[in-house]
Formats: sequence, structure tokens, C-alpha cells
Amino acid sequence: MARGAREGWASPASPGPGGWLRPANRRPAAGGTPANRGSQLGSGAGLGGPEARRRGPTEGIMVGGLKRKHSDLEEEEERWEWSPAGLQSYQQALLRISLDKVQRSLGPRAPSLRRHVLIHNTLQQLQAALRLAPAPALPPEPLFLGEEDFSLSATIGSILRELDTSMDETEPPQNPVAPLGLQNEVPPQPDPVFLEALSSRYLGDSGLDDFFLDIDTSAVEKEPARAPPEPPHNLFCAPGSWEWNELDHIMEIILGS
Amino acid sequence: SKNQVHRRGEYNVYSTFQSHEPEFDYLKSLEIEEKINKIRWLPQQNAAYFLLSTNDKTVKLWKVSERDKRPEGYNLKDEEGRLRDPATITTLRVPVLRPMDLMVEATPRRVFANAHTYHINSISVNSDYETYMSADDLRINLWNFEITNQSFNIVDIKPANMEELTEVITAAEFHPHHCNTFVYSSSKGTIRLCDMRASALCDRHTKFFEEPEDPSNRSFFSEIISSISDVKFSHSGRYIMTRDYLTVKVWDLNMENRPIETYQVHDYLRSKLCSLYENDCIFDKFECVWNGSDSVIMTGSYNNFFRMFDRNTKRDVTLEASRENSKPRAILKPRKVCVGGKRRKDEISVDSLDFSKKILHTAWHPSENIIAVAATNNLYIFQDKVN
Repeated sequence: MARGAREGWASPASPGPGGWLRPANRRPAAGGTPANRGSQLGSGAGLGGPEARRRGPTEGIMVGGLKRKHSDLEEEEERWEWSPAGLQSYQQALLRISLDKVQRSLGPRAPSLRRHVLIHNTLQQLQAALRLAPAPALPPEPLFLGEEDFSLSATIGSILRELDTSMDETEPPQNPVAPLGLQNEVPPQPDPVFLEALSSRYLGDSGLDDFFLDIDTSAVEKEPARAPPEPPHNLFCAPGSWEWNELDHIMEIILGS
Repeated sequence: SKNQVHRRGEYNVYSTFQSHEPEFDYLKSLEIEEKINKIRWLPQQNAAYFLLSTNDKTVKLWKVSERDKRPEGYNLKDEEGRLRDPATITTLRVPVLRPMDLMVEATPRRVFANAHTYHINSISVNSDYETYMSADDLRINLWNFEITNQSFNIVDIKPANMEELTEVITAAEFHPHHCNTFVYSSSKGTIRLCDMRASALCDRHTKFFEEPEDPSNRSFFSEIISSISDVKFSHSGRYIMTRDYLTVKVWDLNMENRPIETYQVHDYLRSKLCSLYENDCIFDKFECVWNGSDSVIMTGSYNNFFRMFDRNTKRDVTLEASRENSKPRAILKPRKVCVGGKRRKDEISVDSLDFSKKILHTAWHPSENIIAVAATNNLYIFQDKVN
């Protein structure tokens, strides 16, 4: 479809051979060297962090993060017949990438809602696809379709709930989730302990079992639950309440008064 | 200065000013970046220029004006501006205006704050020149230029339960002639046209533009790449143009079920979507522009490439904005991306493209063939070759 004109594009205003050019100007543009993080395809960060990646039969070819040395590989990828195990491996890789993105986007800056929604929708598609997928011949990791799946629901739900409570100043947090005493209390965005809890849950750490010991699993089937990682900070508190005094105290510390 | 002969296409810096400062929202423990998301000019009504600029949360109206005279000879103030003791004044004089070196000053005239909970992605000046709108991810507000402490909410797509949120507003624009009409685009690739006369809260659209999905192209990334990053009315007001990740589409306002034209910006990226998702490039928001006569459209791509599509001749061209490839007065050479097979001498292969060099912002002069192209931290201005 793309057919570059050989002589240069003919502009409608000036009939003739045309072409585009940069007029002479005196001063060079201000500013230093352009930021060049050298981001070419395939040279990005590895999948899912430093822990061992799941090895599927097609992993070496189809997943981003590996340097593609030969353009033939891309053609091969396009024509690849997806075996169930290969497809599963691909989907799991996408899942890890997506969860990694969610973690990394929680920071001191207000997160992009558009990005979160798009990743969320992609996660939901992946979750649906993984549920429908037949069980793989080699069980890649025993916990994957079990507990990780349920906690995936927890995360997907909690991501947007978090955004709601952290970004919206006019409305109280919706649908307090947990029966375990969380009430309306939601940890603030850049909570390192929360991030730690999240990462340990999804990146296959050995601490996964220990993490769930504290939680009453009977309630977990119906509603996703999280152990509050820290004294919760209610962002919508009434003056005079315990939370208000707590917040006041924090403000004093921040402002150094 | 305006009195000098204007050499076509040759621009110099006129004024530089800091529009926004970073802020910290203590209540939510969030930083608010000073980064400007959009700038829009107001139509010129006197010697001064007015523009709106916005970051994620606050819109500001700036006046940029020239000053080449200053008053001298005050009675009550001395040369440094200090007040004089009236008892020491024995004569009176009339202050006079004396010429001074030209100074261009920017002053903030209005600050429109505290109306957006989410990030502002668009601002659009209405054709009545009295109002404008600002859009964030979930809401669109209507402002009067004279009133800063109040705005009207005209679109609200926030669900009662945020967990049900699946779609956000990505861009919005007023119709160029009908001050009651505007459009907004979404992250699901849809465009809604609204008429403010229908109701105060434009919850129900007058028109709904969406192209049916191509089932053969379906993937996990279908929704992300359908997310519209920019929407622009044609100057005529008859068409709208939308930019999604891989294409530019032109829609006729009278036909809602599909665009009348679709242009492939960089279709060779379709097989790389997983990598582009991983390195976040798939979330890049490219803008698109019409030329003055609505016959050509332009948008940016990667590797400092930008693309132009002639709607009449159906010809397109890829050009590059970089110092090495554009000496002053040299005609830009068309570029070509090699998508497979043998790479010809002047072509560049997809894997050699630099994805950190992205052209997200471009502008076309309203009546001349002069374009501005932003490449990272350099601004390029090109004009067409005049015989």
C-alpha cells in the first residue's frame, strides 16, 4: 500500500515537481542531545524480571525481549502454527508482561487511566483465553492456573479500585471489598509493602504459600481478599476521626512543622 | 518584528516562557507534572496573541504581546520606581512614551484549575470564541473564557463502579463552524458526535462512528491498537480524521458505520505488536493534521519518520526529520521501510528502526504549505518547494 513517490510529493498549492525542504535558518535548535535509549525491537528488558522464565517450545522465537538476529525469524513467526503449548506459553508471557506493567506504573506520579484500562482489558482477554485453554502436557508451574488465577481476579479488580480511590477526590471508594476488616481502607499508590506483596504473589516466589497462610481462605472463593500490608491510610476521612488525626500527623512530618 | 520582510518558512524563536510548574497534591500523595499536553491558539482579535495551554490538571490562558515603548517621566515615582515624597515635587510633567528594545512578554490571563480529577488530554476552542472545552479520561467540561471558578460538565462516562470501567475518552474537538457540536474519541476506537442543544449533559450521542472489526486481524492487541489517539475535524467541517496506532482514517459525518478512507501509516508493525507492547511503544499517542485545503493529511511515525497522504491522488510519502538527512534548502528525500526480502540500498529495515525517535506532534500552517514537525527535542519546519 505504501508507495513512496519517487520525485518528492507534489503539493497542491504549487503545481510542479514540488518536494519538501527545510528553509535556511540561523540558530540551531536549543537543547542537548536527543534522548536515545536505543530502543529497537527485541532489545528491551527481558520478560517478567530476573526470575526464570517459563520455557515453551516456541519461546525462543515468538516472544519479545529477545534479540532477533535474522529477519527470517519474523516471517516464521507470522506463519507459525500455534500448538496448544506454544499458545499457552505465549499467553503466559503476555500475562507476565502485563502484570509487570501494572506494577511499574504505580509510582509517585498519577498513573495513566487510559493505559491501565487498556492493560486491564488485555488481562481480561488473557484470563479468559487461559481459562479456555486445555491443560498443557508439561505442567509449567503447578500454581499457575490455580491460585494465581484467582489472585489475578483480585488484581484486576483492585487495580481500578485503587485508581478510583487515589484519583477521585469527590467520591468515596466504591464497594469495600474484603470481609477481613479492610473496610474502606485502601493503601495509597506508592506503597512499597503493597508492591512487595503484589510482586511476590505473581512472580512465582517461594513465599507464595506463606503469603496465603494468614488469610482465611473460606471467604476467598467468593470475594478476593488481601491482607492489608500496613496501617491503612484512608484518603477520605472525616475531621476529628482517627484517620484525620493520623493524616494530620503525617502532614506535620512531611511539612516538618 | 512584524515590520520586517517575512521570508516564507523561516522562523525564529519569538517568545519562551514557563507555562506550568510541577505541583504536588499532598492529599493524594501524587505529583502533577508540568508537562504540557496540548496548546491551542485563540483567533486573533488584536495585536496580542492568545493561547490556551494545559498540563494534566490545569488550563491556562496566556497573552503574548510585544512591547516596544515604555512610559518615562512619572511625577510620583522616580526612575527606579520608588515613590517620591510629594513635598519634594515642585513641577509637573506629562509622562511620555519612549521607544525601547522590542520585548515580547507572556502573561497569564486566566487559570482554569480544579475541574479535572483525571488527566486532561484535549482542549478545543469553540467557534463562538467565548467558550472552550477541556477533556480528561472520563469527563469533558465546558468553560467560558471569562469565568475561571466554574465550568459545566457536558460529558461524563465514569461508571458508578470503577471496576466496570472499560473505556476512556482519548480526544475531543469542537466543530469548526457549529458551536453546538463536538466529537470525542475513545480507547475502543469509537467516535461520538454530540449536540449540546439536545441536553445539558451530553450522555447520549447524536452520532456514533465505529468500524466493524476485521476478524482476520484479531489479536490480544486489537483493542489497544484501535484506541484513537487524536481526532480532528477537517477545515470544511464535513469530515473527521482519527489516528489509531497503525492507521489514519477519514470519516464522513454522514456515514457512521465505516470510514470513507483508511491510510496505513506503518503496517509493517502489525507483526511486532508483542514487542511494542512490551516496550510500551504501543501506547504512544500520535497526532494527525489536515492541510489548509483538506486535501492532504499528515501524521508521525518512528525513526523520526512522518507520513503524508494525498487524498485526491492517493499518493503517499514518508519523510524523515533529522539533521543528517536535511540540510537547509535541500529537498527531503522520500524514505522507505523494507518489510522483508531483499533490502534495497536506500531502504531501512524494520528492525533497524529507532523506536525512541517518535514524531508524535506535527502541525500544518492553516493556509500555506509550511509544516512543523517535533522530533524529540528538536523542532523542524519544512516548506514545499516553490518554483
